Amino acid sequence: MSLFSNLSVSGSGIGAAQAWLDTIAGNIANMNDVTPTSEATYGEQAPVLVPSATPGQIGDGVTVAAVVQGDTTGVIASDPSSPLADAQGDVRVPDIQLGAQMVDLIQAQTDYQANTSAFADAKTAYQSALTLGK
Amino acid sequence: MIPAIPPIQPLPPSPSAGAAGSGGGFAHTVASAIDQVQQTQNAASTAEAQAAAGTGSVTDALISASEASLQTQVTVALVDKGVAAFTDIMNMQL
Repeated sequence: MSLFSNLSVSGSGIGAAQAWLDTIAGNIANMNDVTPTSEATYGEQAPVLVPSATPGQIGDGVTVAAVVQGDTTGVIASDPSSPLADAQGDVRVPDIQLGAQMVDLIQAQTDYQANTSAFADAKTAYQSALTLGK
Repeated sequence: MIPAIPPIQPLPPSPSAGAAGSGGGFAHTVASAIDQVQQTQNAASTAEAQAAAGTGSVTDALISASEASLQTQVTVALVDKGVAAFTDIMNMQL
């Protein structure tokens, strides 16, 4: 617990929100992946966020414990024109809904902004504490 | 059923700059505080260099820079207060 612990706690929150934004960007980027039906496809990614210190301690940071990958089964789509299509004209595509990803994106963005606000406010508070001696 | 709120555990004692200078008076305390500020600023410089090189995170660099800035302000404020107290005593009418 350093003198300005609030700053590092908010910093860990910013890092976690960044990881979340990154996984959402990856999900959206891989939304249109096409694989043959014989192979697994892209699985939706999500970060696992856990408290970084002992529970009960005042001011816990957050850590990205892992990035989990969702179901790689995806969905079977009919696309006979694709060179990857099997004999029935089917391909495998990831089961990612753009709407759900965009909602997650807004949540991740708000998470990031909330952490930066907490950071900025803590900094202002520390600076106002310094004016006590004047 | 909402679980009971766990009791608040006491925080571990934080190593303070003042503790290091307990035997050496004000000058020693200031010196160790300045040393600590220097270490924070070195950490901030390293983080900034890494961010500029693209190997580190920009947020980490800015957070270290903010911490270094705040720590410098605290140290300067405390040293100013100490020096002001000394000056007050020196200017005392005898």
